[in-house]
Amino acid sequence: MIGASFPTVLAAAQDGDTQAFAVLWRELQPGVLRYLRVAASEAAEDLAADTWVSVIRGLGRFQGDEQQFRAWVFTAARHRAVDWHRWAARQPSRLLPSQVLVDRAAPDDPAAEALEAQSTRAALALIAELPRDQAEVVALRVLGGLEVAEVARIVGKRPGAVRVLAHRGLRRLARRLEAAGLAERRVTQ
Amino acid sequence: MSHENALAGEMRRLLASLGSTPPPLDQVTADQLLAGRLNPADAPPGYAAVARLLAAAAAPPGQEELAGEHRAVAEFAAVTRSTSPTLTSRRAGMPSKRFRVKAIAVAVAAVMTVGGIAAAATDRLPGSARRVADEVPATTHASVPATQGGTATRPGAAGSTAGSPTGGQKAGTGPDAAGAARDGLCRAWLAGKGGDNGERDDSTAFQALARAAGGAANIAAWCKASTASQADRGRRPDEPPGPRTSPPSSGATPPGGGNGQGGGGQGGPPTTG
Repeated sequence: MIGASFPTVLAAAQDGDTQAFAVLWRELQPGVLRYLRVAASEAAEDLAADTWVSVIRGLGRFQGDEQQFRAWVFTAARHRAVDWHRWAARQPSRLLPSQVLVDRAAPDDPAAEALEAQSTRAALALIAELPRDQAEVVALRVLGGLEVAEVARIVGKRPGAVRVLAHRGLRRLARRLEAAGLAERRVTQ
Repeated sequence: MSHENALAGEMRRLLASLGSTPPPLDQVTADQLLAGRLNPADAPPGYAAVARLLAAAAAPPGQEELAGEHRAVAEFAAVTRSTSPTLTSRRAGMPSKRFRVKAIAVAVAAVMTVGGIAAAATDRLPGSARRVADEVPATTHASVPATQGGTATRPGAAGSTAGSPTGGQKAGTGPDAAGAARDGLCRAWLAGKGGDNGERDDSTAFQALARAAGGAANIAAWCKASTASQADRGRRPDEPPGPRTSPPSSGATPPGGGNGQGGGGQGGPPTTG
């Protein structure tokens, strides 16, 4: 959180101050990049850069507080992710999603890695294994720091539906981690 | 290989179904979990690992995640420079550079359009349209050099016509005895004087000479004064004539000057037929 100085920082950035913009970027870039790793895996870096291009172009027109700014930036990031999925679906040479999942799951189980190393990448990979609508809601709430109503606006669903998706995602993660913990114990026995 | 991978995934799913299903979360706990405000030690049964997982997902950023800062700031600086009037509302009151350029472009286009009308109207349009076209150069400060060049050649042409003794077409007027024809008339009058050629006094040329001298009786004195002044001028016989008395030469006209008005027929190459 930038906090009380956010209006000053935003106004300076809107006036062209590069340092003020850098403050905004450092505050939001990690969350944007991580959300896109969940939502669009290997394209995350490029999509994060594209997100900031659209943020920069629309910055002069933005009005609102810090939380609204977060929601605005993640709205742009989600648009990039949705566009990328549409584009990827038209590419004939691309691996099928099931193949990607199998390849990713095999050698190093992200659940085991997440349990052992507390690795951010492994944690994101595990969230990304959730069904896409659940993964999206969990990522926006955890990585974007957004409330239910804000996530509901971004994904175009009712707040109740967002709550249900988040609950299902958390339960599935709990089962998945417990199973990985069981598997770990069986291997070590 | 992929068969083994598929088997491993299937095993995990099977193990997950065998494991105890975690109880559903209440809304407050779920919100705390998703917001990263739930300590894993305080998590309900089965959710401690989830709390650790989400804490790892939202951990403080590493250096590699902030590696793109220079690129993003450079992009920001470039966009800010190119679109500063829209990025800031503070400068909205000032006329933007883009607007000034636009206004100049419109003004230039208007002058060019009017100029084109003038060029077309001078040749083709009659009446009121021609008067409008004649006023355009004064309004737009456009110069018309062709008119001045044309009038500059007129005095020389008129002078050469008047200077020729045979050029006088109107009876009773005669040559310009006070001007270019004066020396020649005086020489002829002095040579023929003495009463031998008295009838020549009636000729138009000598009548003109008498008018220039102020009377037939004054011709001798007038012509002597004329001869004396001619002697002064004779000291510089090789000096080129002044610009006002020089006849128009073909070389004085600019090469392309006459072709535009005359059309293709005059300026074109000689026909073979």
